[in-house]
Amino acid sequence: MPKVYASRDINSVLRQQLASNKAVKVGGIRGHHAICVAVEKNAKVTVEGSAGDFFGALNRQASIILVGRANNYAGDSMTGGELLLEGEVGAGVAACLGGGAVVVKGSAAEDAGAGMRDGTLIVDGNAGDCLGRRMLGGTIIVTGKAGKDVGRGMRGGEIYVASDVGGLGRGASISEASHEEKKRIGVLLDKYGIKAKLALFEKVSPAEIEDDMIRIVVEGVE
Amino acid sequence: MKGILGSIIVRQLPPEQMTGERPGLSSVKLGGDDISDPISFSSPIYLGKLPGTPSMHSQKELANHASSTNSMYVPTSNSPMEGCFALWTPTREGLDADMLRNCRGVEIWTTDIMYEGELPVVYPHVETSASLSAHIDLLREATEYKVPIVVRISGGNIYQQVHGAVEAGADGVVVSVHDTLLTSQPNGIMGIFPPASKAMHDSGGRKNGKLLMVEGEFLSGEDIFKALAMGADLVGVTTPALNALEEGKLTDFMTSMEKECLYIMGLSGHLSQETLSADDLLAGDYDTGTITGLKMAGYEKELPIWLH
Repeated sequence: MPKVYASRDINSVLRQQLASNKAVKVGGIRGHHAICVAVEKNAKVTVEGSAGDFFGALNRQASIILVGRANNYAGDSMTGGELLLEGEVGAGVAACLGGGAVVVKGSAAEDAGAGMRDGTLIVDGNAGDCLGRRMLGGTIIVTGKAGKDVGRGMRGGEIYVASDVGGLGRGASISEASHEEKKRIGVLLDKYGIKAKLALFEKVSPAEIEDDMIRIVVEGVE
Repeated sequence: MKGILGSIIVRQLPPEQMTGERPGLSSVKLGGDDISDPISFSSPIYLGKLPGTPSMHSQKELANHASSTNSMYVPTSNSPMEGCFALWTPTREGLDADMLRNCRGVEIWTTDIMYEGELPVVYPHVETSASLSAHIDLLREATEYKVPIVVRISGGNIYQQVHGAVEAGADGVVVSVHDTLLTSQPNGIMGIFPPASKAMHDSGGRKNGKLLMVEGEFLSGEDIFKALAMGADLVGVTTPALNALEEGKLTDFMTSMEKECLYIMGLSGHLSQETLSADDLLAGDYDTGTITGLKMAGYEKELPIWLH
């Protein structure tokens, strides 16, 4: 039977190789958590297999490609670099993204882009419920459908969805994307070789602030 | 000064059982053998996370004190201060890979409370022990197995949460009165110890060197003694430390706490905190006996007395 390596061993070898090479390839990942995390180097890393949670999290400047599916929280808290996920992803992809780009060539489960502060998340497929929940900044583009509660509690940033939005969350509003915005979406999608009908995109953004406290005060004055 | 555990009584040993040796607080190690930079606390008392949002100036002072006394301060948000832990919060606010690489330890928060309008909405961050285990794996990798990782539990069933955190691989579990209870009544505070301590035992944490860190408004060395005897490995002092800092007496306050704790240890016949146990304590009233499971003062029996 082939030896099964732990995440610690895989990451340790990866770090050693990154210290000497610019491009690294890793294979045989089978649900390992936290592979390719906190990569400091500006390097290209290709990983094949099925990744567990937190794949590519805390990345700072590397270009990481996963050929296979990833479980929850892929690209969590990245501050730079690129993460290209060629397969479906679990919950919370690009959660708390602070910079860089996460591109999913497949569908994403719930909470994609939750708490994003900056950067770009592109989902070339459908996104689950609570897309962009509590988002503070950055851009999310979904070429397929989005589930319920899109943009719940969002305070900043924008979400563009090409097909149906299953339902808006509290604190979010929807409108048609402007011509300029569609052009910008086109440029971003082109960069990753993704085709979509730009005319269909709708934009979800923070609703006008409706602070209960403010309303109470105003009503009191009246 | 009557402490928050005032209804618990410390048992004094008869003079013939005393050894005549001088007691001392022994150091406490946080982090297992797989951690390259475990923390060695010079005493079991540290500065816990304060409730609310204290000023950054106060927090820096507390962090400096912790750093100079080989102790620890748990900040309320991520900021580059010496002697502090990095916080893995649901929003990851203020945190990046650099901070993780250079911190003294990492503390995971399991839920986040945000306000939508006036009402609090609790967002789950880590829902299961398996999910918590993945978070710990990530932080081990991001810190390259250098520093300890602790989990701050929040409300709910204390036994289950402490058990789950140990099972998930945390080096320590923080149970704070401020994060787990919507009360600061002494009865509630006493109620933290039995389930947390039992969970540490049942999960194997006690045997494997995992630490139970209890934080609250401990006012005196007597409170510290009682918390240690009830199963805490480290005791985090919160608001009273801030009050002492504001009066310019933090060092005196912490020193007097240690001295008082040592004095009581001496009278109860212990040379270090490692030998303390619930047998050193008695419940001063029925509520205390019911909540803590300690033997009742005057009866030397646990409640219900008629069963013994």
